Parts: sequence; structure tokens; C-alpha cells
Amino acid sequence: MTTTAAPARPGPGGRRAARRPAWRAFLLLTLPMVAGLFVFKYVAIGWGLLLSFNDARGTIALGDWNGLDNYRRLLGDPAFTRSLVTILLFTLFIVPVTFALALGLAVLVNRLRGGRALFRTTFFIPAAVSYVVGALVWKMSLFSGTPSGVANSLAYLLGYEESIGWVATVDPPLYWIVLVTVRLWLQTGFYMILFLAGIQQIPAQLYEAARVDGAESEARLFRHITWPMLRNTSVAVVLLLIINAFQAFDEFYNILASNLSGLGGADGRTPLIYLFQTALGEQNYGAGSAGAFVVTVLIVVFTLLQGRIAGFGRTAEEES
Amino acid sequence: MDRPLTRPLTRRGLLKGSALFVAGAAVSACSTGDPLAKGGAAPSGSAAQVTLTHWYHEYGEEGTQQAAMKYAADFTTANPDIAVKVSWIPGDYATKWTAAVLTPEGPDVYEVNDVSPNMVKAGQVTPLDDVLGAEKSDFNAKVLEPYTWGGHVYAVPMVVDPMLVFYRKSLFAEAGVSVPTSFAEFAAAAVKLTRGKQKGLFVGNDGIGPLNQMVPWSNGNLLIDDREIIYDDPKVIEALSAVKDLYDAKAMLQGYSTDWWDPGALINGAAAMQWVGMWAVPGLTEALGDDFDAFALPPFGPGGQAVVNMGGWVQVVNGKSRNLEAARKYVRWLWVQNTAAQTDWNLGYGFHIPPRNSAAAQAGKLNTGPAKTVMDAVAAHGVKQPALWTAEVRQPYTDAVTAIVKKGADPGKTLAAAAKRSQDILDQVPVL
Repeated sequence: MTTTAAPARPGPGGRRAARRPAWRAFLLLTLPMVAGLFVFKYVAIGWGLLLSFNDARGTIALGDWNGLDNYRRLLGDPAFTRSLVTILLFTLFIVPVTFALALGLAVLVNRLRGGRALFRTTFFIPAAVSYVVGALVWKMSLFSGTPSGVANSLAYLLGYEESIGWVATVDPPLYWIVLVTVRLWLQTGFYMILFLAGIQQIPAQLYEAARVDGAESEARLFRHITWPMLRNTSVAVVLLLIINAFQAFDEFYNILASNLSGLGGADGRTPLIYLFQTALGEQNYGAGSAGAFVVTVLIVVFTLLQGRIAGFGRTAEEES
Repeated sequence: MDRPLTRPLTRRGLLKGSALFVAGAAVSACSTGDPLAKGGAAPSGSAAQVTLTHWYHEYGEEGTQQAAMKYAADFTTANPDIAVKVSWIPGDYATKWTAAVLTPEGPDVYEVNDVSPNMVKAGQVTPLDDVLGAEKSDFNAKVLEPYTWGGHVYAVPMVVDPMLVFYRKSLFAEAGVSVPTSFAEFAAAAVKLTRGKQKGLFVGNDGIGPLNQMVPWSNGNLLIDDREIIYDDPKVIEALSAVKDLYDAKAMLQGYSTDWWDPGALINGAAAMQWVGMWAVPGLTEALGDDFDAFALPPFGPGGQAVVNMGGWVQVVNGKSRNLEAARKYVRWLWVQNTAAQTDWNLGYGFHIPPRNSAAAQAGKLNTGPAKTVMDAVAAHGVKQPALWTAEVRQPYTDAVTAIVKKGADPGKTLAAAAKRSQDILDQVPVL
């Protein structure tokens, strides 16, 4: 948003007077949003922080202070520490794979001579699908445990006559195939569009100049022009990917939940699923809030680390 | 986003914009409906002074929502000063009521499966002894017991749901299998009934389902004894090892499109036996005629006990309700006095046992066919889950069972570690 919008209008009062209504309008129009943000986000976050130092079972009222007990309980619970390990491994896998796929697709789509719009749209469409819908299609149709499931039909053609319960099999961990493929399908297209936009911002003269300087092969052009020019896009993409991976919930919840009131088992339990269970399943809002802050701190630490390594937000002058 | 405004705002434009904004806010403020409510029996403009909100989870049987709304309307006819607004909550009901009762705007009357000491302490429920009144002795004592804390009963049972094994008689005859009398026979039957695209047994999409508790129960260990965790025990190890063998035999259906509480897998022939509740009987009869029956999970071995799990829903009154007296009056009218409505609710749609013994005894529909088998099994083998076996307490156990059954973890060590955790959590539950 910009506040210095109104150009000067001729007339008495001059520039200043003309600007005042715009400034007032800005206040008036943003106030509901800011007030909403304050009441529904910041107050809630602050309350959550206080609640994390309370024994709050079945209530969200403060008063039963118990110091760091909730944090101790969480970090002493093997189920929670395991969920942190789970999400870390998931992040380490899904971030580079999505990154490589999205970048690869963007480069390929960009090189197309005809039908670029068609392919761009085709790859992007899954991003418009809800995670819940995607997860249920994966669970009930593609990777259903019945012989008629798509994956099992394929396995049958390849000679495996026994139908496989993809989601239920944890040893070997076949459920990861379901979880990872659905996320890749859902999010790759979106990041591909970001890369594509980045690639199209690169001036064509740079490529021409590189060719004049003797860079002939596509690989060299990519390495010396495309990749460095995409740095800001890449950093932003990695940042978003990491945050999204840490907040994984929807597809895990919908694919793995099996019992009426219950969530899935220990396998594939992400921190958010664990906290959902703690706060809303068991009504332990103190421990739930504490966990939310542990996860937030983790996300912040990872983001800062990544920003430091990749140099997010640094300008060219600062670099040199 | 960063494009500067190209046109300065004029006073008139600002006025128009603000007027639109205010109008929009006013319109949205007018629709004060409960966004969760799928349908409501709104009071029809009568002299109602009090409006109660009553939450139900989404019962799957057709006609149940209309029935719930009709009971509410009937109550208002009899008590014109009290209106009842029925909210039918689809999806994950448990997390919705737990969030709603934290505020004074929560439901006045709602249904749950368990009442924990934490709920009592937090005032999410209120004693209903006077609501049960003289009729208390007519309620199934086994069912009331887990809702009793410190001598007070906090719930009125609405439906009792026995869960056990249903099977296809024709598939048993084809495979030459008879009703098993021990867990070994049960497992052997599951293997024998697995042929082609048909699996022997369906207990849940994760391949373990309720067996994680039922099989140890059938070996004589209820996993918890009042305030003591007792599942770190050779009997439980023995039971879980047998479950692991059954799991490894690949005789169980996994990843079906519906889960164990829906009889679809049995109806479609995807499995020959299925763990499901008596509510499925009308649907099974419609689809299969008399080609099905039921049996209690057989005793694990000598010294074990057959098991029918007695689940169900109970009605509670929110302790923070602003209309406590009206809410009590409504619950007493509907779930204690109005036996006609109770019988309709329990038998008109799916099959459940009416919680009042006198009503259950008169239920003709439960005296024939598979429903009769279930009723006999309930009388002989009904087991009610102990009250303190809450979601929090049992989580270390269910994790341990997955590790043992699916990944071959050492049962002794895994259970010992989990039992210690469960006991720690249990020790923090307040004593009432």
C-alpha cells in the first residue's frame, strides 16, 4: 500500500490539503483490517503464550499457573519429539524435491514454442484443488487398499496379485508414497508459476550477450544466466516451502485418520496433528499452546538460518 | 500491490465507499445464524422466553435429523415458554463441542461418549441426579457407571451401541467355517475366508482398529483398573502377539472406501466378517436379507471372556448454560420421561438399545433375527470401557500397539515404557 498517492492538485491549499483526504481514507479503510488483525491474531497469540504457562484443561481461562510444566511435558513426550523428527525428515525431503520439480517444469514450459499456455494451465490447475479434496482422492481412489484401487490395479499388471493397503502399511513405510505424491501434485504447479514469472523477468539481452560471449549450450546458459537471475525467486520459494512443510496438517489428517473420533497412529503424526489432538481432542489447551510456540520457534529458526545462508533481503550493494 | 493510486480520492468517492462499507457490515451483522448449524427447529414466534441450543453429531441414518427436530418442536408445544434450537453438526463433532463449551455461547444441551473428571472440574457438565429422578433404577447400571463421579451422575444415556463381529452366513458355509469359539479359531477363519478379492476380516482401515483393546479384553485384561494402568502384562503381550500374527497373515481388509462403522465392506463382499455396531442391522437386512448374523469376539483362550463392546451416546447439560433449569427440564422430558421418543430414536432408524431397561424389554424389533443374537450376546458378554481410559491416557498404548503389531517391536519393552507414560498422565487426572 502506498500513502503518498495523491498528486498535487492546482488550487488553494496546495499539495498538503489535497493529500489529507487520501490519508484519512487510508486510515478509514485499513482500520477494520488492522483492528481485526489485532483482536483475532495478536491478542489470541498473546493469550496463547500466557496460556502455555497455565494448567488449562477444559478451560482457556488463566489462573492456574504452572511455570514451564507444559513445555516439560511436551519435550518429555516421545510422541511429540517423534513428531518433530517426522516433520524435519519430511521437510528435508519435500522442499528440495518440490523445488527441483517446479524449477524443471518452469524451464521446460518456458522453452516450449507452442502450447505454452496449455501446459502452464495444466500444471497449475492442481494448485487450485483443496488439500482435503486431493487427500481424499488419493486415499479413496488412487491408493485405496481394495484390488480396484488405481495403484493396486497397476501393481496387479506388474505381477503383484496381493492387494496392498498403501495407507495402512508402515513397515515398509508405503504411506509416505501417498503423502508425498499428493503434496507434490498439489503444490508443484504453484511454485512452477513463481519460477516461470521469474524466468520471464530476465532480459533477453542477457542471453544474447552470453551467446556472443560464447556460452552455447542450454546448460551453460541456465547455470550462468537463469540460475543467478532467479536467486530472489528461489529464496522466496524455499522460504514458502519450508513454512508450508512445517505446517503440514491437511493431507496427513485426512489420509491417516481412521477412527471415528481419533486421528491416525504414531506414523505420520506431524506436530500440528499432535497439537490438534492435545488441544481439541484431550482439551489440554495449556500444553497445546506450548506446543504451538515450540513449532513457531522452530519455523522462525529455520527461516532465519535459510535466510542467512541464501542472503534473503540483501541488496546487491550490501553483497559487494 | 505497490501500484500507486492513480486517481486521488474525492470527498464524494470517499462518502460513497464508506456508505457501501457500512451497509455491507450491517448486512453481515444481521445474519446472526450459527454458522455450524445445518438445520434448526427455530421457535415459531410463540411466547418463548428461553431458547435452548441442542447439539447432535451427525447420525448417519436417514430421518434422524428430522426426528431430533420433531422432538424439540413437541417439547415446545408442551412447554410454550421454552424453545429448542437443534444444531446438527457434521464431520469432526468432538473437536467442535470441545471448543464450543469453552465459551458461554456453547450449547446448553449436547451429547458425548465419555465424561472425564476434567470435564466435571471445568464445569462443562452438571449433575443430573434429579433429572434421572426415580427412573434411575430403570437405566442400565453398567451404562450409567462410567458417567458417575463423586456419587453424582453427569449424563443421561440416549443410545446404547453394542459392537461385535458380524459375518455373512453364506460365505461361512461356502468355506466350511463355523462360528469360532476361541481367538485361534477366529484367526484361522479369517485366513480361510480370504480368497480372491475377498478378505476374511475387516476391523478398520488401519488393519488393527478396535482389536487393539478388544483382544486384550477377551484375554481378561481391561488395560486399566480404576486409577492403575495394568496393560504391561503377559496376558496383553499374548493377545497382541496373536493380533500381530493375524495382521501378518494378510487376511484383513485395509484401506477400504468406508471405515469399520459402515457395513459397506460386508455388504459388497469385500470382507466376510466385520467388526461393526448393531446400528448396521437395518442396512444389512435390507441389502442381504437374512444372509448375516453376529457373534461376540470369542474368549482368547481358556480363562478368557467373550467380548461385546458397549458404546453409545449420552446427553449432558453444559454447566455454564444460562438456562440450566430449562435445559434440565428438557433433558428429563426427552430422555427420561418420553419413552415413545426414546424408542423411536433407538429403533426407528438404525438399531440401538434403548437405555431404559423397560423400553429395551418391550422393543419387538430386537427380539428377532440377528438383533436378537446381538441382544443375547450383550446380556452375556457386554463390556463397558472403563471411565478413565480417556483419549490422553490411551494414546501411549495405541502407539505401542501399532509398533508391536505393524513393526514387530518388542512387546514387553514397548508396553512397559508406554504403561509408565499412561500412568503419569492418569495420575494427573483430578480425583472427584
